[in-house]
Amino acid sequence: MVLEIDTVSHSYPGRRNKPRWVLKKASHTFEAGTFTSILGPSGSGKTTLLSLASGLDTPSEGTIRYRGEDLRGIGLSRYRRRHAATVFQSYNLLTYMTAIQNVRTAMDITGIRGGRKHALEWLERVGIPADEARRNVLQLSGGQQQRVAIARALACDVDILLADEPTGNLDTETADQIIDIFRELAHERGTCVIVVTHSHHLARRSDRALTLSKGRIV
Amino acid sequence: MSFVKRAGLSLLARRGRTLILLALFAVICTLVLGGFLVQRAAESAAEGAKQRVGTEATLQWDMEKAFAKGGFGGTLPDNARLGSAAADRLGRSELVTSHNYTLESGTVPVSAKPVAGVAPPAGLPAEMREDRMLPLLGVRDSTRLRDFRDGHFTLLSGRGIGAEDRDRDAVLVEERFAATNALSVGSRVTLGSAEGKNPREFEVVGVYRDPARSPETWAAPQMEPGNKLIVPLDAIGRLDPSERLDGGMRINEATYLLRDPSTLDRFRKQAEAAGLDLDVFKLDVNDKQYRQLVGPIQNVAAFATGTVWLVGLAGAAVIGLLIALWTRERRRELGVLLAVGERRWRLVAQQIVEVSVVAVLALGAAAAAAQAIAPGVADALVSREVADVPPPVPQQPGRATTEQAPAVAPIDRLNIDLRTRDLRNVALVGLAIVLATVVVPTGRIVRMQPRAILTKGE
Repeated sequence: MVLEIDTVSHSYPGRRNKPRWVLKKASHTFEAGTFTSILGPSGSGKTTLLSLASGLDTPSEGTIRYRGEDLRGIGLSRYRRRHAATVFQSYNLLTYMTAIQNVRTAMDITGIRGGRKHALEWLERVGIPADEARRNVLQLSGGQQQRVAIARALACDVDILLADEPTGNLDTETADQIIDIFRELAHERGTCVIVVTHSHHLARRSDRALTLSKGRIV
Repeated sequence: MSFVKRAGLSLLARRGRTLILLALFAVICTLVLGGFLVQRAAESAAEGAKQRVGTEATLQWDMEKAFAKGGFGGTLPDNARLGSAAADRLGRSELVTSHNYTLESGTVPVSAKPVAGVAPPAGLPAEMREDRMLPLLGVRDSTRLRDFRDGHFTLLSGRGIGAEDRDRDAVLVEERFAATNALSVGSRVTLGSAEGKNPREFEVVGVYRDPARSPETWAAPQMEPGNKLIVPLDAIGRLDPSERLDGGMRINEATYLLRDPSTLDRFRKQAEAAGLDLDVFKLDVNDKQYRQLVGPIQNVAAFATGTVWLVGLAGAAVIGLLIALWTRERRRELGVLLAVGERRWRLVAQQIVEVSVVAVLALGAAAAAAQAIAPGVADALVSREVADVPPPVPQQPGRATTEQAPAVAPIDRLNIDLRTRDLRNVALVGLAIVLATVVVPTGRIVRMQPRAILTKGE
């Protein structure tokens, strides 16, 4: 067990500051070397669950544990830096940098050595050749930017990889390549891969598929 | 990639923004540095003026105070009279640059005749007609007399009376007296006391000119400017021993040139310690000369100080607002970095590095610009201030020798030069601006939750 969601509930301030519960007593255990997909309609709490599992926020109730230790004890920033990397649906690249600089920035923050060569390897692995890697990310297509975002997460060499609709902007062929990488990471490197998706194709290729409905794991 | 390199990439990628910040910083640094340069130049000029003219403190016997305190009838006790011995003790103070004292007395010449411009009118009483009393001024140092210091009196030949003449019977004569009696430097003239007693032979050591004209009607010899004789103070004691006091001489007043006007209170205490009762003697300070000299530059210095503060604060506010706006635009970038796990202090450090790099470049530009601009600005400011100073009142003929400090032309130029200290001061101001302007938006960054920026928040 690498990541444990233990009766986690989460709310956002609603009308008149009344809490709007988007996640209700969700519990699940994610294992190392497993590729898990999370399905569910819009508003079911998928992205909130991913945010909490990524250490981008703390749950209103319940506990999230990494290898048995409460994330609050580890420190969310440290957890994000050392153990979990996230691929966002909207890429979230640093737009004043090239693709390779984006990857190297993440490597520097997470303390991964290997420099330029290591970054280029990951970029090439997700389908960004070296000449494209030297271009500013704004000069790349949406699909290429998504691949750079994935390469940035992969290069950080973490235990847990979380992704929010990582293939949503990619063509089928590239999406399959990315899914292959996720499977390889999970099965060959033992990474815990958790992907939020609407894609049943991706869900079918994952090891486990969870469904969220109205904030509950069903 | 370190945050320093990230800061460099950010600056290069946002060239337009960087140039705007650079221009703004350069203008602020130039004005602040210019202000510091003018301020320091004014301080330096004021210090120089202080050294040059000092501040004059005058110690005088105050008749009203003396009688009010003593309540004696007609005869003054020794401690109610001002003496040269006590004046010399005070003159040895470390606060004093130089000192002088004077005693106005009279003499009856034995071997010389007074200058007489107009013949006495018929019917003038015989005692007035035969009055031969001449004004005699005993001094410690004639060159310290204000009339000589401000150029009112001119030494035509020979030398003045100095402290070293204390035991000599030396005399400084006015050119009209010299002409009337065919005297020149080295000549000898016999003078007696005011009562015509104790005649002594004096050596003429100098001839001076008093531009005051002789009266146009008959006047007693005492009133004729050409008759004034200047002798060492102790020579008066040799002519009239009753003027001796407490191992020295009685004096009318003593003047002290203080190194620093701010030391007057300490000087006052030292005067009391020297045995001078300030309930009997009045001690006045005359820093008019110093104020005349430095008045305009002090105004310029005050203006420069105001400019430094105003520009510094206004500049900090403008830069702060700009950086706050730009930081707001960069929330997503900061959120991405936070989501990747970047430490908050490194985000702040990146911001500081970015602004500091711009500030350092601006400081370099300002150093060159301020050195070129500041002298012209300073001269223009000083000239304007000098033009506002009223011209000195012309001296009146026949006024008392030790009445007022001579008028001096105010300082009308400042010597501007750039020193490391100035750059350090501006760098400190710049650093304060950088920290203040980066720390405020940093508050927002520190509170920032990456989720709030990067996820939709279902």
